[in-house]
Amino acid sequence: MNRDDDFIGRLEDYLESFDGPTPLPDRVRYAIRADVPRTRQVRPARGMGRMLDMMSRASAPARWGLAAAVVVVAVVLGAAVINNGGASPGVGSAPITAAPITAAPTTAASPSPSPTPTPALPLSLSDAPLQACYPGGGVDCLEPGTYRLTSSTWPGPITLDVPAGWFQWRPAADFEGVLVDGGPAAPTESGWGLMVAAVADGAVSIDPCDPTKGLADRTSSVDGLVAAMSSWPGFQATAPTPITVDGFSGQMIELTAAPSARGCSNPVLWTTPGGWAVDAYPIIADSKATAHRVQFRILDVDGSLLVIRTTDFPETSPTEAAQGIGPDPTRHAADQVELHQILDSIRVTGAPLQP
Amino acid sequence: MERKLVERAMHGDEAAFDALVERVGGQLHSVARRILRDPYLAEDATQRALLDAWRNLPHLRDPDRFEAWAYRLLVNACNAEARRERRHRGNLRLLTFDGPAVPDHSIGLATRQQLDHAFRRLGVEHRTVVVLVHYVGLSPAEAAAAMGTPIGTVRSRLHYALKYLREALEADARLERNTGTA
Repeated sequence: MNRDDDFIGRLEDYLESFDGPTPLPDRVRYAIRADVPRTRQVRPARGMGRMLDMMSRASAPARWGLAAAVVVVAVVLGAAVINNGGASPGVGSAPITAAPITAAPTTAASPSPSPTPTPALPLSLSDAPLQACYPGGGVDCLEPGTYRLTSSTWPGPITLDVPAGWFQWRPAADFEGVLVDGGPAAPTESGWGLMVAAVADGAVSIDPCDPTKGLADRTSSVDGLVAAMSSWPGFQATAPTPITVDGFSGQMIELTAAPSARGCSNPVLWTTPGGWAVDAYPIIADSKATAHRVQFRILDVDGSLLVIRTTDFPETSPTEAAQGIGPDPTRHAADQVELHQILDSIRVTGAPLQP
Repeated sequence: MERKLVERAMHGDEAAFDALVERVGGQLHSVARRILRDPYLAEDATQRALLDAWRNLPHLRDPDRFEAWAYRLLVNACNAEARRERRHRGNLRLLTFDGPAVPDHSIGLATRQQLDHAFRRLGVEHRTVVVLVHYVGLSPAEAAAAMGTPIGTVRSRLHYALKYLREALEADARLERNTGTA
């Protein structure tokens, strides 16, 4: 065995053993099964598809013949159009006048009646077109539009309207949202926005700062989860406010750090059905209690709990502060207006997609 | 891969596509993990590639080429995920794991760590070509088709990546020798 063989052998052994066996995760399998029935296959245009298929199967001389035939047909058709357009009116032919070029809304373009198609779900955030967050900035902000959040562990798809300057935040398959871009001063991210997560049954901490205390009972209802969150040591909760999001009722509470949260490191609020631990950012960031407040909108969607977490405060976020941005009490004041517009646009499964 | 299964999925048979996912999904995910070096990005890339496959199956010209075509969709999906990677995942951590890495008896721990370190420093396009050729076992021509790049580009990327990995291993070995004799 020479030196190269030895190296390639070691490399291939390494690649083979990397991470061990990695079967298709259930999260992906279930997401595919959920998405396939509502994803339309893109079919090739019939005539052109058949022509291409004929050409690909034909022998070389036959391919040239077919191609020549296509060219002849195109030339004949083109000539007919040119002759009609350029000739003076004759017997049996109507005058053709060039239509003025005007801009028109595309919705008015088709006067012929056609069956109303079933409204398709919007693109997922992962498939959304991207654009620069700001002139000269990274091309990873979403183009403004209505998009779908995708998770196999939620009760159904959620759609929302995204304005310019926001980007997808999807650290896990069942934990997704949008954050506002932090601009050139915060190139990593802003740490400010909205996220959606589900709550696994029986996976809410009794004390997020002390895992040895175990998990809270009776948290499978909105009231039960609110009660558990309101009694977390280390956190102060406002009284719950009844809310409705797209027809689904729930409660909203706002949490801040209590003085006893000092020294709380790696808090775990709850676990999602996909096994993700949701921490207390930005109430506790980098193991330090902050003065920020976070809103939790807890919804009962057909028996499943869905939580929308927002950082609805105007000041500089801990993530931005960690990037060297100084305290600014109004840094996100304008973003708060957009955040509320996003919240108002949220549609949960089964609801009409039009706002 | 059974041609009939692919043909049924091409005509909208969801059960047939589900069977295809079961057959190729694990391998696609394994490839994505090795290219992206991140389990969460790899999951997203695999999911994206499989949904793209379903959406575009009617355009597949030769059902016998399904697997090769799926690799191409996966490489595209990996590139897309890598572009999104810069957003960091600040306030989450995974509590459940797929399981620890299988102990590797064929190469030493030090070599594995050195390769791991060097492999991580390669760009995604270089990791892709190494994985396609030396893990999946594609020929450079097949890898070029999967990556949508000319075969010359694949050969040069492969040459650069292997040279880099070999030199990184040798440099680490030299460092160890020097440390050992100091």
